[in-house]
Amino acid sequence: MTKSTSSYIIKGEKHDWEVVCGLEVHCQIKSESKLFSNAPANFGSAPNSNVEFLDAGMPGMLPVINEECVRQAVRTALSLNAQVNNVSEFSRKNYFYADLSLGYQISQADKPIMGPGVVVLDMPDGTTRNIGLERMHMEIDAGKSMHDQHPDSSFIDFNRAGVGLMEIVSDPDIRTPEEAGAFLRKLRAIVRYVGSCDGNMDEGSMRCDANVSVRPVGSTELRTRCEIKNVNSVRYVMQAIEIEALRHVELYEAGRGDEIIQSSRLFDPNKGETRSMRSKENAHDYRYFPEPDLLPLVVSDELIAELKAKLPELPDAKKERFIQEFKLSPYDSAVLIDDRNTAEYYEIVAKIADPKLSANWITTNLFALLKEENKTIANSPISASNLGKLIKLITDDVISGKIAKQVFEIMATDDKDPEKIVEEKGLKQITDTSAIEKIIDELIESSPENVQAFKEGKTKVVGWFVGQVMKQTQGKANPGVVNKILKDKLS
Amino acid sequence: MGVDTKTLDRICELSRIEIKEENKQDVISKLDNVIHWMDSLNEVDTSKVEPLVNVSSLFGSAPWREDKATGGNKVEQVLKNAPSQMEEHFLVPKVVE
Repeated sequence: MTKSTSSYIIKGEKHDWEVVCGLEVHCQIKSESKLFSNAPANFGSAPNSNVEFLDAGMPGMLPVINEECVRQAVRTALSLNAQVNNVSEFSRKNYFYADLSLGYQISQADKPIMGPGVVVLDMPDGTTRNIGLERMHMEIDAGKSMHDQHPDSSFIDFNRAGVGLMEIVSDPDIRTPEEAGAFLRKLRAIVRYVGSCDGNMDEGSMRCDANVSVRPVGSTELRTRCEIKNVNSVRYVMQAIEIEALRHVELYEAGRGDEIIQSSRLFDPNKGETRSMRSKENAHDYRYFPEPDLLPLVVSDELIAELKAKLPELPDAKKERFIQEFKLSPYDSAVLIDDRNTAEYYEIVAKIADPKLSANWITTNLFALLKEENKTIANSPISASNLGKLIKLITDDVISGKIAKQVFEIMATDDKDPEKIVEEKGLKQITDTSAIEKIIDELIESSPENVQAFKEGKTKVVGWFVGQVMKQTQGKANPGVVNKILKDKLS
Repeated sequence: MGVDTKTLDRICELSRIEIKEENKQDVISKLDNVIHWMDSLNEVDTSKVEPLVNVSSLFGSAPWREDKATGGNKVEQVLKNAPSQMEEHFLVPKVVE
């Protein structure tokens, strides 16, 4: 079995197969208190200290919805180009597990807060692709179990129980692991722009389930899908989809398609496999029914309009503006808008220096530096205004690109005005023609054989002369000026 | 909709109950009767009636609460009824995936 990299087709003996994938993404809603109780919703408190009686499943407690969570859900829906339902309803999803003390999850079933929407993916080749969204509903998070604290018992902490979640469900429009990755990155960018979720997959504030099936290329059927639960990084989601799709293809090709049953699976990144979750193998039925303790949630058109008017500039709009205003390629623009802080940093740099060159410096040199020092752009060792000044020194012919990299290294440890660094270290480019002319005259004098070679048509020898000049000036000679003088003197 | 053996087996599994093989036909016909009796509800034309989720919704919509974290910090009370506890956690039989 091989897979083609361009369109992601898995080639089998009998068929060529394509992947059909839909994602369910749980986003923890950013709010001070929980969805239905006034216990704090923050992460990292002492065990069971962020718990109200409701969250612990005590009898007789009533849920009251948090208005900020509703607003966050509406903001998110609006930023996903989706319809906000004026009336939505809560249901009980019943299941029995130690981290869910109520015995049910308050969720939304038939009438969720958000209807169909769309996420636009920016692909590496600069094209875009639309992935449909089926819905988004609000629900409560469960508590946390710890299995490594005691030999034969598990510890349960209900601090997370009751924290608001938005579950965003995509259509089965995703065809490649790359698209799944792009979808998650875009969704994360959107919720971060809007401020409705941290989007930190490693901390669990954003979690993803992937529904995967395969079908012969050209067919439109939807075959049995398996759900890979709770994958906690973009990279793992991509790997899990790839591995699960290959598993399906192998089984179909071997005539064992009936072994693929609709079930929940876990992805094990160490072993590079997915395996069935035993607890979910047994039949269960969530017995959804309307939550009798909650009246329908009504969101007025006035509130929707008010929240819409206050939305920040969203990733897609920003991407388009960067293309127009700064003449960036769609791909560069997509990379820069991915993170709101990067976009803001870029705008400061691009207002000081050449926009295109600024984009290059940020996506190559600055990103490499941040990666090396394990920092984010928000705490970049080099400020945006100083980077802008540095790039401007290049286009103003004060220093060469090569020298600029040296200055950049210095700035990485000492974020000073680059002009001062250039001044102090004497790195200013020599544009004084007489000084350069003098060096060239000496070279012509001392190496007549190279001059002769040039005259015989070996023009490559110019490179040797340039190299010599750069050596003698420690790279400070302006390459344009050097070339011009050489051309005049040699011919 | 009728009840067959397969449906009965699934209901048994979900409800964690067991029905002896020789009693299954009897239970099926009884369940079938109940379901067919329910079918009579379909005789009423409800196409123009909005579904009612909660009787109280006739009186309005859910009240909203201001987002203030004024609760929590009652570990002792929360854990008071726990059958088993340790280090401010509930202690439950181990279930590992």
